[in-house]
Amino acid sequence: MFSKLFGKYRFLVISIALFIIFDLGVLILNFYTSGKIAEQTELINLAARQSTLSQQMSKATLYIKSQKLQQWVYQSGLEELRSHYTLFGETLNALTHGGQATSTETGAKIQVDAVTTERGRALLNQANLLWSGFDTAIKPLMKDTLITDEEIQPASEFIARNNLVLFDLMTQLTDHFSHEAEAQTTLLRRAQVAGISLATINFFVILFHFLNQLRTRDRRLELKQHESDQLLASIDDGVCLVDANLRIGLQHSGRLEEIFGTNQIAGRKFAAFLNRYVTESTARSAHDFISLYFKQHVSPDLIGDLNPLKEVKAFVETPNGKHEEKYLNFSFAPLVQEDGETVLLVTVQDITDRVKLRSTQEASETKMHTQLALFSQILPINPDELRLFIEQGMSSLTKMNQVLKSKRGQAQSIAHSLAQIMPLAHRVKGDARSIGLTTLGEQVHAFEEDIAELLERAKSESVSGRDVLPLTVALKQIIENIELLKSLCERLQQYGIRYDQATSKQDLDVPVVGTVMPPAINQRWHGLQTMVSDIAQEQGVTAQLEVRGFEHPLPRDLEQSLYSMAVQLVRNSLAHGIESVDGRRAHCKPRIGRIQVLLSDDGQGNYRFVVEDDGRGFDYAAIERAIKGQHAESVADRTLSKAELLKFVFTEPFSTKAHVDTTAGRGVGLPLVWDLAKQIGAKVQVRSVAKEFTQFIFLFSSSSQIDDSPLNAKVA
Amino acid sequence: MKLLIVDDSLVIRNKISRSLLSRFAKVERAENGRQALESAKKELPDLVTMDLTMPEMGGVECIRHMVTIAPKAAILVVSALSDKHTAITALKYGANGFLCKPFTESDLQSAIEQVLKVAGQR
Repeated sequence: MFSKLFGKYRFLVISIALFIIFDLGVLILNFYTSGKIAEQTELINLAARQSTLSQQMSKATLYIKSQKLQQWVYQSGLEELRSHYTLFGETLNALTHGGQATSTETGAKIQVDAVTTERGRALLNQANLLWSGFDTAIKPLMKDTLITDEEIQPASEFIARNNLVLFDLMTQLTDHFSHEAEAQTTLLRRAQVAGISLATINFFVILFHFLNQLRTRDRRLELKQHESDQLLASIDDGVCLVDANLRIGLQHSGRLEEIFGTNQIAGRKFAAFLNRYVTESTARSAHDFISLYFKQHVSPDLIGDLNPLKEVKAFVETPNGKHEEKYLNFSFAPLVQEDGETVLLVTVQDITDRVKLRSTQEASETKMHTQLALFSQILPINPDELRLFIEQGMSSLTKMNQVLKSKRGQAQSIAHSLAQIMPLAHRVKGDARSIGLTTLGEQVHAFEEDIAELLERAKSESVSGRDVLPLTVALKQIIENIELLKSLCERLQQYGIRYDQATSKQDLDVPVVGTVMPPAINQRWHGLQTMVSDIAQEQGVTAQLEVRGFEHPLPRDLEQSLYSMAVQLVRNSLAHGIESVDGRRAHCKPRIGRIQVLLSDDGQGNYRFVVEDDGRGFDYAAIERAIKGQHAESVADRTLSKAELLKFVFTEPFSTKAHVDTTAGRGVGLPLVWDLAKQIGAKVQVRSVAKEFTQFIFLFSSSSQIDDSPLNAKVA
Repeated sequence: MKLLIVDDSLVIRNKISRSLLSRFAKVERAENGRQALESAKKELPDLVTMDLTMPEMGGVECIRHMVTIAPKAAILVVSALSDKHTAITALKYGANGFLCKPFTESDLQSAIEQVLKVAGQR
């Protein structure tokens, strides 16, 4: 029972109980002995007073005798004698038999116990014997009548004879009581010393016992610590514990420090620690995920699939301050401790080599497929077309690469860089698709999506240089593919293959799409037809492309700019303008949509470049809704004019399309057209009638200067 | 024991139903969260298998209400891994376990054992 109640603390409880008993014993003894000493002091005082009384009785008797001889008044002497006699008799009786006596201090009646010591009894017996003589001699004087000489004479003689004997007896009694009191004081002192000594010894026993226990435990703990340190140092994986507050425990394996390149791990919040190495969203997901292990209602065996850290990319700072990309695998196992609390055993493996090997294999396979696809796609392309695309594409990609490399600093400048490269990527994508390089177009589209995702993230959280790294890698791959194109192109030429004469998309059976193109037109514009064919199929529309006015050679850069503008505007026509067959029928329009790309000049170097379609026309209400939805802060609660809406359309990256696809949705096509128009110094006019047509007119001359505000929107 | 299968796919509903028919006295089916809650109010199921992406009312919102309507019901989220975050949210709100689509019959049986074991601790 006792063991159950106090367990390992029973020694401490016993020791404390003994300590209290010793102290209490001393206290009680002290109290008892103090009472006895007080009684003894009273006895000493009484005995001392008896000595004095014996002397005073003698003095009073002699006084009465002397007064009587001279026949003087002796009454005061008699009164004194009577008082001393009574007091002495009462005190002697109380000391001998026990009873009441008059206190020497207060004069009040006090209870006195009979003296029981041998020596005291002997002295009192002698005193009583002698006092009986005194009693006989003095009693005759106690009457109220006059005292005769026969009465005073024998009394004074007896007192004179025995007075000193009685005094001596009382003095001896006083000494005896003093010795008794001294003995009791000595006893008390010894008892106190003994009690305090025992208590002190007990205290030191407790102290040494616990010091010993503490030392033993410390030794065990050190041993355990040493063993677990050795164990943790020898584990190949990063291992640590995470408690219910999602805080990392104090111990972890040495490998964990190697993986993360830091020893500042113990005691930190798991998600906060992770946040230094992975993206914020991954760290948040990890926090939410591991907190599930501490929820009693969740089965830990059924959540492993949701682990967001199964194969996570982490950027770890190396000792020289650079960031190393690692792939880590975190696994979690709940452990229930002796006290019933659950902790999470976290195991971290560095799987970088495995992932890199796998991605190398995948990249190699993808590269092979891409090369095959590129090879098959370049065969129908006009070599001049392809060379021009390669030249322009490389120029754009090099610019993008320079922008990405130059601005890796602050989050704001990163966002600005991303916004800068977006239209360049869009142009490469459009140009690639326009000449039939769909694989490359898809690759650039994926790259564009990565940029858009990062731009979106930049709105809500800070993006760092390491977030841009994947983009740099993707860009490098695109550049490699264009270089590959260049190399394929050169080889084919070396072998003298006229690959543009191979099967062309123009020969494919695409009955819903036709082209009106004069035979003499520059070959590059045939690429637009391929693009229209592909996009029309994707968008589920039918359209006929008409291209006119490019029969005569133009400056190469000018023609490339016009071509890129046409690519973007034709894509827009197919994505936003031309309706489905059913839609067109509903509006009593011809079944096949019409897109025209026209160039004319007045013979004096003034050009008119027109791209138009007979589709839906501008839906200004939808444009306004989209602008307010995407740029609410600058245009909130204000109705925008059509000119303002057009300005937005040309200058801000936004789209009325709810979903992004490979054709449209990013909203960067028209800003790109705007930039190109600025480059050739063109004035822009936009004419549009809802449900009827949209017309983009670019007016420029061969001597036009770059104009920062070329928009001259005409709204029909 | 009563089972409620919540999934907008008829194929999945039939698959779960076939696998668990022998084990449950009554099997109810729902195509979305709203139907599931109506059914749960009437039948108080012992086990609910819950898809996450459904029309009208998705799995997460349904689970939030389900734990008050049928607090003793074990809830097993049966969904694809495309949105781990939604699945984690569903578990936070009271689901007891997650089974990834596609799954085998033995995966399902084993998952149900697990969720029934922990369901009482919600």
